[in-house]
Amino acid sequence: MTVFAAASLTEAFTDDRTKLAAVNPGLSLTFSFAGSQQLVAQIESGAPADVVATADEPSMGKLVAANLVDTPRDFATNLLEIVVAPGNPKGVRGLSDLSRADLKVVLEDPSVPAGKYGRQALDRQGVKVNPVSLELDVKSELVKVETGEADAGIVYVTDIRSAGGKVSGVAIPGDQNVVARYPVAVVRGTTKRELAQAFVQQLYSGPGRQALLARGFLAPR
Amino acid sequence: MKRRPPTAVAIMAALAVAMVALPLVGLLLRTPWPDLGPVLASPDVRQALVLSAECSVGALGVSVVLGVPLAWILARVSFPGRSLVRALVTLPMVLPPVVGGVALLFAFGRRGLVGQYLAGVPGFPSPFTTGAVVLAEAFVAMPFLVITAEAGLRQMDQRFEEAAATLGAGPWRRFWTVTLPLVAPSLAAGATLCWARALGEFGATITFAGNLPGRTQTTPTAIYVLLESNPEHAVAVSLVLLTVSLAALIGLRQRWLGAL
Amino acid sequence: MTLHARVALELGAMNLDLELDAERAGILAIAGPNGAGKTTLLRALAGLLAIDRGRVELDGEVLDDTTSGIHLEPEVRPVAVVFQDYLLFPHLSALENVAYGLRSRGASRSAARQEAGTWLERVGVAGMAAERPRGLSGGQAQRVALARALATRPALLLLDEPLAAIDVSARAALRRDLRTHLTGADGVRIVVTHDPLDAMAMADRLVVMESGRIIQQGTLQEVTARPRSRWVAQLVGLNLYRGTASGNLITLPEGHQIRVTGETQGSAFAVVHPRAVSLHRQRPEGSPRNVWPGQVDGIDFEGDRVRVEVGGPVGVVAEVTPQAATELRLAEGGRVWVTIKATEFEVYPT
Repeated sequence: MTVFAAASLTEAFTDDRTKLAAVNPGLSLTFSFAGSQQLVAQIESGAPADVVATADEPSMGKLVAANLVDTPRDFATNLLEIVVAPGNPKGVRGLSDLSRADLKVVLEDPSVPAGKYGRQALDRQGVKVNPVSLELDVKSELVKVETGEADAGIVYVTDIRSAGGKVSGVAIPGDQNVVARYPVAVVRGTTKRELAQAFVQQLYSGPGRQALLARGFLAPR
Repeated sequence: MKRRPPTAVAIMAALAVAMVALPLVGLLLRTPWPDLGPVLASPDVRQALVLSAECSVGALGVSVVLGVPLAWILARVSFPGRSLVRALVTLPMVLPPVVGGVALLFAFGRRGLVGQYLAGVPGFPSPFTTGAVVLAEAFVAMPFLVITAEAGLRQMDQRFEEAAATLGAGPWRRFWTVTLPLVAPSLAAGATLCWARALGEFGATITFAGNLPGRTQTTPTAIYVLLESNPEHAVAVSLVLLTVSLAALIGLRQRWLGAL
Repeated sequence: MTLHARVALELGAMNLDLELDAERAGILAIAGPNGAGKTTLLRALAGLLAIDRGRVELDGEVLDDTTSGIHLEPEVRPVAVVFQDYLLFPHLSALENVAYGLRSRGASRSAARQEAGTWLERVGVAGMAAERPRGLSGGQAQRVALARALATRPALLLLDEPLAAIDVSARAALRRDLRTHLTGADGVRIVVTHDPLDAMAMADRLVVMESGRIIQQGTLQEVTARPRSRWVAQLVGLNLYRGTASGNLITLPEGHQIRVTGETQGSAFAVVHPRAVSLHRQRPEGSPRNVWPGQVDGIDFEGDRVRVEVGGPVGVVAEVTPQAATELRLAEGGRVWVTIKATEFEVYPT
């Protein structure tokens, strides 16, 4: 069975597969991780996915409009967090600090869900940021902060957890934060409907739920 | 004797053409012709096109100023380790561009080998600057110029330089008035390839210089971004690069290609 | 102006060791077979090659001196070269080619072009001034190359096989022209050639080289009176042998002996004219003369004479009448007998 999933779900889903494989030795579960837009484009071109999980609702919406998936449901949410160098040497305390002239800030490009949400959060607080770069995927942004090229950025909570000690995080309070909703759906053309539905189900209550929570995702609201 | 190619050869050649042509045809078919004008005129796209033009020419300039003397030394001066130097200089041709970008970060980034000392110097191509784009493009494109220039210099009849010497021309004058004109076809071919490569560079640029419209967002990066939000517009902008590349190659006349 | 050159150098298989003096008066031809080292010497004089040992002095100015480590680069030597394939710059017109040396020495563009035009006129190709070298005939290119070298008014003008690339039919006229132009020029003039006709036409003095050494030098007359090398012998159309003489007998290196007259002893040359060589179908009887067998390697019908190259233990070139050739039924590969009277040989010490 093949699952197409947004890149930010990489670690969580991989953990999930390990757990599932322990219980179902015969299970063959293949993942394809990419940006949500790419996943949508591929499925529109007829890629052989059985399940698809995106990082935002508009992407899934395209698939719904094209009648390519069953009704989607949110299975997880994610929150934004400010990423800084380990130990927060520049003393970043919140979103408003990102407009400081002495900081080199990288953000995600608005064409990517994380970028869109980040901008939303900044705009809502009226923070004007001059980023030095708008990265095209979260990993690149993390690398820039890890290597010290940039001082701060906005990524998901889960990304900061995954990066371990290579970065530190500065929490964004709930009222300033943006909730990223992750929908999942069974692809209409699948030949493994039962398996697909079972996979989806275990994301809510089962090894999937555990894996997601362990990586920092939150329950769907 | 007019050559009629053997059937097998002709079929393989036709397949080769198809492999290259079909994706391009697909591109042409998906182009939103009516939208072409407005898309290309939009500020973001215009900005990306102008930046690409400026940076690719800048990268070509860097490649010529640094690469031609290097090619001259590789072609004319025998020194220990020459093959190693040649291999090193052409390494970017086979290196995955992103790897190149990462390497540039480690050398010229804020904490880089050289970058840590020169980060504050005005004009230094630090990451996130337009200079970084030029550096990344030159990094991947210069080898093309060096290779063709060296070949041209090797093939050239050096006796012309001897003749010039007997007529009273010193080394510099010989280079400008005899050597350079004689290798001009090779240089033209190499420069065209170099410039085209710089224009299309993506991986090293985005890794080292980043992506910021107006400062570091080149056309390939803009296309990639558009692919996420508006694939049709991405196709439209791709068409521009395709047309420019085609024009460059057509301008690269037969006799210059013969020099390759 | 005079040239004093002592040159010793080794280049690959070439080993050069000689002493050469040349005056401004007259044209000097350096001649000899291919591989003699003539071009190597020329390149050394031009400064394109470094010498291993020696000294080159031109008109008082030291160009090379290995003991003091002096080696003037070509661009600062008052030496100009007309190369064997001219090496006219393909991207410049004939006029610009001729102007090149003038421009290199600092002349303004207009002054250089004007003077270049005059030189082209002098060598007779003014009409081709705007042509690129590829549009020139062999003869025209040669003249442009000459003008280009002459324009720099060199103290030493070197010409490397100047007529080698010229069509045989055009050579005679060009040879005369070249001689005229060279005669009118200043400075030391040296022509390097392997063609005896070139040497004969242009040389006032002749230096004959072989295997990197000078074998003979002097006026044409002096050199051809006593040929000391195959090349000179060819020049005068003689058969030349070298061996050890003991009175009436000369022993050649391979052991064969020639009967001669005279009392020369020791290392000696023996020359005999092809006309003095007789050919026979059968071994002739009798008298004490030189007799040996051979096979016909080549026959050349030259009007009223037939030159026959005979190969064998002692090679020789014979000249017979067409009748004799027919009577003997001479054919390539056929066997003949050679006889030469002892008195026909001229013998002199080496």
